[in-house]
Amino acid sequence: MKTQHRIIGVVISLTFMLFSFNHCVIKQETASKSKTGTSNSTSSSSEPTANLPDPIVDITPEPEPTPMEMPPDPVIIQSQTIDIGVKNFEQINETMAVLTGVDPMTNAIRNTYRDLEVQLPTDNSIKSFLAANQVAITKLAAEYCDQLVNSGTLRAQVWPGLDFGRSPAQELSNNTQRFNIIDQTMNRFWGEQMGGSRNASQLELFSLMSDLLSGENLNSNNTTRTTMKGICTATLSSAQVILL
Amino acid sequence: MSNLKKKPELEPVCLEGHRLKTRRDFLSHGFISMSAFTWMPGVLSLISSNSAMAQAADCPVPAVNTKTPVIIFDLAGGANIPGSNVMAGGAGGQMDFLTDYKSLGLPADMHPSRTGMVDTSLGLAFHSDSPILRGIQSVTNNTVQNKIDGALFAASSSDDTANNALNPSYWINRAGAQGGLSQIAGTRDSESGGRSIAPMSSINPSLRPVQLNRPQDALGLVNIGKLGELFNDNKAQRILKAIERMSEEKIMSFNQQTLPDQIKDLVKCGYIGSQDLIGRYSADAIDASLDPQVTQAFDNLSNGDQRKTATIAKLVLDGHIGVGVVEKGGYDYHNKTRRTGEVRDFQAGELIGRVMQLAALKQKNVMIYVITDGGVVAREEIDNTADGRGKYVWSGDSGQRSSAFMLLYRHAGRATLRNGIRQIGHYKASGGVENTATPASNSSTNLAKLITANYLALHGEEGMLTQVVGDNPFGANLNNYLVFNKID
Repeated sequence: MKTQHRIIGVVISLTFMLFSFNHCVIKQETASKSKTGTSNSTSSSSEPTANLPDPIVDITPEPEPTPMEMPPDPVIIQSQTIDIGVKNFEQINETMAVLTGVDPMTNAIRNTYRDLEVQLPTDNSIKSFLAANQVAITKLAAEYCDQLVNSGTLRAQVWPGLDFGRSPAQELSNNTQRFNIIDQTMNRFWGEQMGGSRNASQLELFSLMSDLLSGENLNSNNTTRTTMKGICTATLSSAQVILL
Repeated sequence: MSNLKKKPELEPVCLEGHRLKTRRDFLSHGFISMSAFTWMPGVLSLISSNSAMAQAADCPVPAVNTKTPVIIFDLAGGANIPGSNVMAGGAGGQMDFLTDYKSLGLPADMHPSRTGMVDTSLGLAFHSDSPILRGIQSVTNNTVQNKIDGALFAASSSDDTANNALNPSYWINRAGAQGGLSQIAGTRDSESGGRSIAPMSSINPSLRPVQLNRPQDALGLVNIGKLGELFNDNKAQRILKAIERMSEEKIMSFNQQTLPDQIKDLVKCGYIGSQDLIGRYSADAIDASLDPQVTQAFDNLSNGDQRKTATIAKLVLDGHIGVGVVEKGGYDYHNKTRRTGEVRDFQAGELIGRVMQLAALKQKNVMIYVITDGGVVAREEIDNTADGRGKYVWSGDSGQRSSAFMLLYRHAGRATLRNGIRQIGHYKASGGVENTATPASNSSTNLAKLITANYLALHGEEGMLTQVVGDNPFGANLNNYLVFNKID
């Protein structure tokens, strides 16, 4: 019964949502009631747009200007005290080198790091963590994982039971094999003691592995290597590795 | 829904020909902030007890800048601005000439009162032999020059230090100069993007400038490197999504005291934004070297100054970045010659002119703001070399002879003056700034606020100064310090 109630609730909620997504918007009532956000899609201009039919029947002769939208007050962010930091560019590079065992002076790593250095976090302040930082972290992790999987010696230390010379049909065909590989990846990069979020991350990596294998040639050992590079990159560039 | 029927102003507005497809579409119409925040967590909690993943952060929606693009030139070291470059005068304005301009580098035979010694081809009066003016004129045509005007801000600053809070980039961003790729970009890895710092109260760590010195730096923000070689776009995005979800699990595991919710949201937005960065921009859209208008305005991208300025200018003028900061070094040029300073100033003028030219090609407005840390003083010794041009040598630092100036290119035609003046504050007979003339004359922070006010005024929003910068140090006199009327 409990399950049935849940399903009924879900259906009702989804129906309401579909009804609400009808491509219509609510015209903002007044300037003072508008939400202050971060987009600049509305300007302060109150001038009518010339030569365009106005789909809105506006009964007010002088529409009030829409308030300017602006980023959050910097003082609020500055005033927050936190105990968590983010690794800077050197720390991230060193961390990835130690976790993968790849020499950071390898040409491909060194060149990528040099190109990305300005894009990686410059200090340990998590308040200034930008999307651009995460893009760079992911790219650096991908280079490390490429080197790791391409090295027979190094990959055997991380995934000792996985034969990279065999295809996914042979090595990643059942849940036991996949969860075993995922556990080895998490243990190596994140450690074995992770608390409650470990199960959710396991499921996420399992789902990721399925998606990466989807549509690929499951009889090719290249697919095994490429898929493991993806799993490695996702694990190595996550907050579990990057945060201090 | 009953309210909708009663109030005509709340009638739903159907958008003809615009179907809402993407997450961004729904965000921009407020549906996700409305429906998703109120319904999705509830729905997911029915399916699963783990609701953490459903609590989406209210991340900024990337948007192309629709307000006047802004580029700040930070001349590091303390350049000359008043007198030998932008004409500087007494309380009567630019044309209220001082008795002499010796300390500002001009010998008597170049005094602005002499025939042909003042050039107003850019609206704002320059000395006719100003190297900055010559640099601008060397790369712009008359059509462009006729659409430029500007203002001089008489303001002292400290010599040879980055601690002048001259950079208003955060406030100007807050005033509406926003971008989809990044809010602020600079050529230096610093909180301001340049040498001079931003006022402390303006700094929002989550908007820290990205560093861009070459087209590849911009590409680096949006390409995915090795991952792109290994996977198609969909699978690369799937990996980024997995990173976001697993990272969110980690972030949500911290308690409020360790990591406040607002900072959690900032970090989550960093992960979410990384997918937007990768998915939204093509190389053609952001690579300055592939833009024929850029290569027309900047003729030598192998030159470091042109390369970094072109990179920033393209992204700012195309609306992908709200405010760009270009630092140019070498302006502590008081080496007992004049030629060094003349050459460096000419180079700065060239870069400014190229940005104006690019704005003209792209049919965009642009506001250029030029700052410098400190200033220089001259002594009565002529440098008669070709580059010295018969002017006095720069002999020492003089922050009392500092200043800042802005130029505005308005593509539809030169902006109109609000009060008929192009000089805010004034200079003493000695050539130094009159530090009591305005609240900005002796305060870098107030100068940054004043520039923000002038930016707001370009869009008729000067009344929002307090909301943007926190206060109004100019009080009822603010209007006297605003230069231009609303431009659009």
